Amino acid sequence: MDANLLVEARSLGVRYGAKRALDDVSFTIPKGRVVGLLGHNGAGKTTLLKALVGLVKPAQGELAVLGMNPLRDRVDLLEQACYIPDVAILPRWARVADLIGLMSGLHPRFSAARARELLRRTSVDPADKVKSLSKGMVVQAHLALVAAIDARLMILDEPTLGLDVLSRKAFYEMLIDEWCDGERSVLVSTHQVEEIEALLSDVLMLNEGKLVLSISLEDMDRRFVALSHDASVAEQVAAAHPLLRYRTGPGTAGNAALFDGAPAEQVMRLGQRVRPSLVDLFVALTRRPELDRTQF
Amino acid sequence: MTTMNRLIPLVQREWLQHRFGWALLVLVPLGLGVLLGSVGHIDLGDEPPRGAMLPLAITAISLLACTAAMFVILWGASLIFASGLARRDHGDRSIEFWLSLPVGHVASIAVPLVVHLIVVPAAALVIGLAAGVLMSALLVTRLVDFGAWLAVPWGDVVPALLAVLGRLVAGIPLATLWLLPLVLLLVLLNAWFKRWGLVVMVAGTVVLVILERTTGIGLASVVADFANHAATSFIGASRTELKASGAEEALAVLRQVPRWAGNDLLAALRDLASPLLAGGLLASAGLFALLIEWRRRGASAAN
Amino acid sequence: MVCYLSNTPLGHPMQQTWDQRLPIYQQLADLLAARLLDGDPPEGDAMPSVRALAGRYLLNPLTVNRALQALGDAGLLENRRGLGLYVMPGARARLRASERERFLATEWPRLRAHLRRLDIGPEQLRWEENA
Repeated sequence: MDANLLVEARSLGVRYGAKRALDDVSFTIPKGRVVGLLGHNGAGKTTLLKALVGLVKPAQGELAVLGMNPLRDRVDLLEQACYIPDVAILPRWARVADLIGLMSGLHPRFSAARARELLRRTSVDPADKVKSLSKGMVVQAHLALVAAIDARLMILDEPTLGLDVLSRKAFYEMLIDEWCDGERSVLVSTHQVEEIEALLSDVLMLNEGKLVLSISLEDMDRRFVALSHDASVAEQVAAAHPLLRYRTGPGTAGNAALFDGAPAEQVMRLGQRVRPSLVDLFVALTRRPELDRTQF
Repeated sequence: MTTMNRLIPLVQREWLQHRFGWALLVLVPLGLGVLLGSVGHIDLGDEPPRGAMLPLAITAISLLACTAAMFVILWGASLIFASGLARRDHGDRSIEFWLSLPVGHVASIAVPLVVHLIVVPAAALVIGLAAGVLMSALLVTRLVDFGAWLAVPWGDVVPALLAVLGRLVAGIPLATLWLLPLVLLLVLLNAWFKRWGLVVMVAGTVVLVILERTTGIGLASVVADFANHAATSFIGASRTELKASGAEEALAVLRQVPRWAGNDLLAALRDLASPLLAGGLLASAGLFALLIEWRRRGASAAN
Repeated sequence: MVCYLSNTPLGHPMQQTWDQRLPIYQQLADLLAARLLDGDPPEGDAMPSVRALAGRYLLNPLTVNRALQALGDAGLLENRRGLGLYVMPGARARLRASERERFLATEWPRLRAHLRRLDIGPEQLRWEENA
């Protein structure tokens, strides 16, 4: 067991009845990374995250989180890993201050002082009752509570859903300031790919239960080639079988094609190499077959 | 495993979540009682006790009534609440929050059960007794005078009271042991069938009764046995009675109460050494394991 | 393409958006190089820490590291053991020289062609005025 790997998954499979929610998923997460988990609805993101914290039992494969078996060592694991599910789910009857008190007693690595400090940056007051908070404020409160846990692994399922732009920015700032110390890792599933791309160091892409991409952003820049070209050479570019063709802007110059691996020299000369964006790569690797392949 | 330190916050949670409900259940009947006692019509019957017996009788009845009322209200409410324990955090979906905390499934289910089935009824007895004392003062003062209340033979009444209180408080966990399989079954049925758990249970009971009447398979009687044992574990295991007629006899009886209470408790404890209870506890363990398994799956399956 | 950001009076950078052309680390490297050209930080001084830069630009620290690595490879920064990254003496001159070269090689011909298209001669260019 490599001490630098916080998560090791090998051929993970999860079934809901006859449906395969996860199919032969293998990946690792070293320490000090911010990993984005991307996928359409129903692709298996939430199932994967739940499997990591022992809320779902895999039908096949092996899984080690912080060196522990999530199902067997659930309580020990949750002391060192924190998890935020994808809905605003704080108990409605409680005051935020009550929750701070309860978590202080239940969680050995929770700091009440930190939680109060983080809450001060939000619009939530500790005396507020959860049921009086808006959905966005519940998310902010939950994030503050979880961020006050000194965890080695943060598992967040759509943490910014329901937050406005300013709150999202505050969350990203907190993520960078507090959690990027080289020892912890964060696994974030999100739909807001563009916003979070700059914060990620690695990405995992799920499509219908299968892992279609597991790569660091650094390697992604090297492996995938996006070619920005003029409409006049579109056919020649298409002949090189790109993963995806798309538009980057208006007019005849706003065409682009995405390749897995550099295409031949003559194709490269047809246009200019640009950065493959995560969004476009995501679309390329996870698009539904019913979408027109030559969609412009 | 969840350590002892983690159990205290779990108890704290019950307090934080239910303190207003409990306060309501205590203060409303109390307020009503005080109101009725102060201004309500009191009918002493055809042959009311005379002289010194009257304050004693009123005190005894107040204590009995208040304690019983408080106990029934809080124990009843706790039973109803406990039966829904498995699904209580599913309404506001906060179950996922609780499951994300490093607390074991066993503690998460066992602690609330203990709090609601044992601690709260025990507290109800104490509160009821205190309320009874209050009410007795109110009523005696109203019907006779305050001096008469002070003149009640507290030297004999108090030990008897405390003995009975002790017997009842000790009886609660014993009775709970007998009732455990039934309670856990109800909790489990409510987990599986949501609001229909009780209906299923009642239907099941009816089926058992019919079964017994027709085929003679005594399952319904077994269930009745458990209920019986639970009741006697609470009070009355020794099956000896105390009777009094007249003032002097009443005092003599009062003085016997502590010993009677002690014997009753011993009898209840002896009752525990029963194969029936052993079977019940085994069934309880199985039902508890099913509950744990249900909770373990409770977050992933659609609710 | 060298980007250039100005600070608002509060000292916070405006919301940075990264364009699609170059990898983000390259864009950050260019941005930091532009600031070096302006003398921020001056030669011989320490560069802001990786954490500070990551927080300022909302980037993953690994990306910031790559940018600083690129600047180091270009000879603009040096790593002083135990102290961190410092701006090398002569960095500004080197930067100015390479920028000048690039401008004259790629941007100027484009600009010149554009001026010719608009029929603007050197007499019409108001050289002495400041922006």
